[in-house]
Amino acid sequence: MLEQEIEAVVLNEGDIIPVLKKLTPKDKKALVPFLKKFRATIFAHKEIKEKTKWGTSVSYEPSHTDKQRDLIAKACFVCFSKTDFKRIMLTNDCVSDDYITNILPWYVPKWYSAVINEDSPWRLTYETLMTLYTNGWLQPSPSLLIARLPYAIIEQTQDFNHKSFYKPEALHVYKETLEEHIWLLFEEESNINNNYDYLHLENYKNGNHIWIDTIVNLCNSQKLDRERVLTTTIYTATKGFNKNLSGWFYDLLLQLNPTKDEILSLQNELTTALGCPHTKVINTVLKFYKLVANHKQFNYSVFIENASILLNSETKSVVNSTLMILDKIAKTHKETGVTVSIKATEALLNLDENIQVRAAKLIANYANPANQEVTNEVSMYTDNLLHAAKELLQAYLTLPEVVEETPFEVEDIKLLTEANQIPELETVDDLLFFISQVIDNNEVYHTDLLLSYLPKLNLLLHKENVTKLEPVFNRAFDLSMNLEGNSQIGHLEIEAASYINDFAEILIHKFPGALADYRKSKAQKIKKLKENSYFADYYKTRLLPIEQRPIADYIYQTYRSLCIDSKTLLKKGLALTLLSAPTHAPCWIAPKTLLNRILAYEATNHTISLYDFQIAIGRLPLHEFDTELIKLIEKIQDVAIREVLQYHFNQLSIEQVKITRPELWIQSVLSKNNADDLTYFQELLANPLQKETGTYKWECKPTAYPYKEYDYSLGKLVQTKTIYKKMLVLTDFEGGEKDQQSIITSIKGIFSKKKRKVNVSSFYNYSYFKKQEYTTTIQPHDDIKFLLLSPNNPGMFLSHVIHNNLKESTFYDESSKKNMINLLKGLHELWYRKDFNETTYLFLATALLCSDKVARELAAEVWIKTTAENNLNNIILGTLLGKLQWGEYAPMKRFTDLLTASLFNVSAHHNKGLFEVLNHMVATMNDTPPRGIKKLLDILLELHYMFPEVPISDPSKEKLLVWKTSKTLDTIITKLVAV
Amino acid sequence: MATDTLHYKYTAQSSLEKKQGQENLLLSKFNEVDKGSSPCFFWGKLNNPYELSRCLITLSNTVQSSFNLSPFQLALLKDPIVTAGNNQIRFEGFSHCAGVYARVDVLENGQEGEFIENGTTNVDFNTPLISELGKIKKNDDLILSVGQKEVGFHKDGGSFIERKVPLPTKWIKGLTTVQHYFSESDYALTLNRIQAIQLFKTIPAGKVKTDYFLIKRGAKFLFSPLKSNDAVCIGGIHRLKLLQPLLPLLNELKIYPHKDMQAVTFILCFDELNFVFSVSRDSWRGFSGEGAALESLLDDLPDTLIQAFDNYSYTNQEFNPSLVAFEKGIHIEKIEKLATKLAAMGLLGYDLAKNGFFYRRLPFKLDRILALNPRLKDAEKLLVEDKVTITLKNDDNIEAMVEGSGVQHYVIVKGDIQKCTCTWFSKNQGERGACKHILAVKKKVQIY
Repeated sequence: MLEQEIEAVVLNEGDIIPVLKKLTPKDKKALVPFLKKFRATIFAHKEIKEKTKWGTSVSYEPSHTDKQRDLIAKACFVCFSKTDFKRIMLTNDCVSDDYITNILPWYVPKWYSAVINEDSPWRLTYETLMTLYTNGWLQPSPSLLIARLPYAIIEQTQDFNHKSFYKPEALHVYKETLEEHIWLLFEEESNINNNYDYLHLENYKNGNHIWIDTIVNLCNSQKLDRERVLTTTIYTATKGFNKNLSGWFYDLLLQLNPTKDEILSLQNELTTALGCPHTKVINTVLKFYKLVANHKQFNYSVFIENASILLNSETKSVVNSTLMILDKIAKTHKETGVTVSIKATEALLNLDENIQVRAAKLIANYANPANQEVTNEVSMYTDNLLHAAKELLQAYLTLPEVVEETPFEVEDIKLLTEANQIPELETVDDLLFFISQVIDNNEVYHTDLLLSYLPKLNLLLHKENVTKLEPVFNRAFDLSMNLEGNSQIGHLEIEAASYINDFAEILIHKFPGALADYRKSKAQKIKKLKENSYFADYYKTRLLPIEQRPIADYIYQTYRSLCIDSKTLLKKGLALTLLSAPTHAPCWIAPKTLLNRILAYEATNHTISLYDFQIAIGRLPLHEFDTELIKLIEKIQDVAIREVLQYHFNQLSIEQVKITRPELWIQSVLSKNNADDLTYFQELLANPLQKETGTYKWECKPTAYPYKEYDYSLGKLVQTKTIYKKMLVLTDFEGGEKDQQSIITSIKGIFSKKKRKVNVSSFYNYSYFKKQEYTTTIQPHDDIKFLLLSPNNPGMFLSHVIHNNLKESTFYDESSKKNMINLLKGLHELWYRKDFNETTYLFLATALLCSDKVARELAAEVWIKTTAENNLNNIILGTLLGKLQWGEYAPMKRFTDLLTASLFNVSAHHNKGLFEVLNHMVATMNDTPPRGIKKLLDILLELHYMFPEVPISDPSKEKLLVWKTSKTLDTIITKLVAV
Repeated sequence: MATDTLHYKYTAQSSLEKKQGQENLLLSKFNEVDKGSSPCFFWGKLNNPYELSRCLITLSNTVQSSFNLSPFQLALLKDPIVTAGNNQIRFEGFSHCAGVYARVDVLENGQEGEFIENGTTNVDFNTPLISELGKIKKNDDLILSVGQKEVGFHKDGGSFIERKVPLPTKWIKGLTTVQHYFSESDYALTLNRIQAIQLFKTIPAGKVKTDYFLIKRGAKFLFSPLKSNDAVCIGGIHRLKLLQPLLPLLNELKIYPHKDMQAVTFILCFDELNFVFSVSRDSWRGFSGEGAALESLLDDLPDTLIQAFDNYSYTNQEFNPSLVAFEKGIHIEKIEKLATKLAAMGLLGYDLAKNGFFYRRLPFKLDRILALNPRLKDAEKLLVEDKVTITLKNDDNIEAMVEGSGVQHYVIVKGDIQKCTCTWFSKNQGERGACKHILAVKKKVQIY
């Protein structure tokens, strides 16, 4: 009966209030199931199909009128339980004027307060909230009040213009507002500090400061207790507010401008605020303390007690202010001199010269060198002291300044040790579990070893044990078909998986019975792939044997070719190890092992693959030689190979040999990197070795780019200005000159009647990137493996990295950042010689300047290691850094921060190296002093004080004299030149 | 993951009030297991109020932190746990993501008070309390009360404070397994205050994905992104920033890496007060997901033994394995596994400074704790479903085939070497505990 009545009222848009009023609690409960269904009908949407000139358009519109929906909502409000009501999401309706006038006076659901507090409807204003509260219908929670009160002072007109006005009078309407509610804003996070700018208030233009002004005015007009406002504002620092809100409250505090007396009476509260993590808060408190620090009521002992955290702050202004206050304390209370001085020593840990000098002056002024306690404390920081501070504290330093320098011993580098030797696997189980993890990229050399281990395992398999490989085959198949990326592996792992697939296919033919289950499951997977038309083309190419599979990018051709070599061994049933398989991590090959491998190939009459041989030669550590090797080399039958190896181990000069197969020689000549040999070898070739050595001309200068903006009046993009990007460009990288050269050379060759020159073929031919399958140019995880293909000639690959990733010092994507990090880790392992070509040094220089902090730290580690081992030419590095900074490749601060944090004061030997770097860096920089150069010169001066016997280089001196015209640099340059 | 609800019900809010010139810190307690125990565990003076209050704030920050969760989940916080007894008070807590563990140990001489009853309990840590703790100064007198000594001590006495928080099992599991990690960690080095501050200055800004390594260069210690032999490895190094406010206050910093670098523990030593801080292998890996203790849990210990042990141990008492072995007639070799099992059940904590387990019963229902370790449960399921076939078994050499999803995994166990062809093992090579297949094989042949 009631149901029909309600239905009729709703459908006829009648007056539902009288019907609802007469409902008993029992009726309400009984109506719930009906109302749920009926509401769903009333709130449903209907589909509207319209024929247009473009075809049929489908749209939706409500099936019932607004009035009908409103009526059913009211019925639901009166009858529903809390859970049911929350589910229909109509909380905004029940705070409307309509409900306040027509329903709430006679019915307020028990759950009303709870729902409003939980849902915090956006339509609820502070004014409405207070209406509901004063009528006793709503008990607002603190969080609801905190959410609504910030907008209480804003009034919006209801007309078309929607103008907003600042109306602080609203706070005086209800006594609770200023007595209780406003204080809640100091207790929990709110948006009191923002969102006012966008309101464009007609009568207030100070944006987000609106509440600051309001509170200050309330204090001034004594509507709020100023003392309480000050205390609660200070305590906001202990409430865990976010940085912006904390800062805002301390802006309020500054605006309240506490008097000295007030500051002194609020010392306890202000000291508590010093525990806040936000600098703004601490700086404000210190600003107040600076005003009262010499006052007798200032609780200086508590301040000294708390100073440790402040003196160790990362923010210079905090440390400086603290030292200033300590200075005032010591000046006012003479008896605190020693305590203050001991405390001030903590600032000596900071590497900023101004801070050290300030702390040192304080100590020198208020302590006595005879005081053992102070002397002990200061001497703990001796290692950290800069020249200026050291001079001030000379009397406190217990150790004599001149320490006998122990001669620096260069560490003997062994690339082949027991620690990095890769164990050779022999048994089926060992090989099986090894192959299981190859596609997980657990070690960089696993994909290399796979190529030798599959042919080996092949010979150990029989129908009883072959099934143990099924899980590996399954994983390899899934991986090779997988379209989703895996951040833990590179594309080489997918190549390895494809090769394992081929291996599985070979075994299926060999052991059809044993691998029947795998064959079936693979067939099912393929069937599933076929059904998905989207991937049809994709899976077909991926199912092809490796010889026919398309290549992801040119550079993968080298590994593919090695896979094919390995597959040949597999098919032939030979268990030969590939020549290029590393014996020592990450990529080195013990010479003796390589020679034995070559002999084994000759013994089985198996042809040595060219790329395999080239990579193997490149992986020989240059200094690992003993006479035993000569005998082994002599056993090699292939004359050319024998001669290459004799040359490689310095038993033969290249000029003594008639080179007929330069492709066997190229890697050895490049690895040895002997200038004369390279020239001699180049003479034989038709193609220049520029690409193979990775040596290109480069420049770093601002490049002009047109900047376009959309012009709305013209309706198109127009060029508005030109922006200058600082770019590092390898000018002859694209090889424009290469063809010309080769044509000229070939013509020359014809006329000179010399022996015809040949083009040398090597795996370097494939070393370039064309972004074929991937959006990322150089796949992370593969990058390091490419580098390890020729560890004695890293410049070749690194030139590609510079060209593709490092035009600017900021990385344009995550992958290029990963490339940098991986390559630096690799370089750290393989940098064992000083004579790497300039490109390798350029790469290190870009790394020291790049935007990623981890990469910079890694580059610093490379510098520290190679300098310690005397394997770095710091002059080249310094010159390149200067040349890069000539074009302002990176902000100077980035480099000087790295200098102080990681490069400076590693050891006396390193400081000497660093002096060399900076000394030569200055010379190649711009005549206009780059921004931030002063810090660099500070460090250079500090280093020069350490090594006064080493002069500033002449070109650098010239540059310094040019810079001297700058006022800010005058003093420091005068000092530098005078040392 | 199964989510349970933890229903905190405190008789009053924890608070810090100044009365008669003394700061009175009342920590309201609640224990869902042992509701009828004494209202107060400890009442007395704490000797290093300034350092302790800062440690408690850092503990609270740790409990409130999360390195892999959304702000919504962060809002549902858990409370720290206090263990009082044997003249020591320990406050322990776990980050929400289960990757950072922190404990404040007030040592024997760090307090002068009365241990009215021994026990472990949750304590209410609310925002106003933390805010008040920040006001404690060096020479303040701080009186701590774990639970209310007398009814009406607090002005809100009698009114209940209730909070419901979802309790993912991983949180308790992390809390229990971290103790096992402690037991496998060894002392590496001690840094003085200056060295510690210098070291922490080298933590890079922002969130860091790369592993960092603690190395010494000259007299300085620093964190470097470059892997070097034997260096202590720290993943998710930004988590250490939680410790920064405590550094200028400490006497020395001790570092204990896990034997397989699966965790690192820092002990910040103050006067008669230690702050223990442990981080998991990486910020996205909680202690809960690690399987280091799994093999020790394979052994089914009789409930009577656990009960007996539980009965005659008292809070903070050092766990004496040989005594238990003697009393209960258990083979001494099994005792180590017993400690792991008891720690995993929330009955033992580990004190790195003393290098031994201590008794403390976590204030959670035991059934919550026992129903953990999915990998172990999966291994048991494999056995129930008869999916494990032992193909070879002699002295020290076991080979088995274990049925996986559509494939037979090959498992070998040869002395200390154990391997499986499954993805988990291939990827982690045993670093994160054995896979379910290896666990099932070992359980079947009864070798743990």
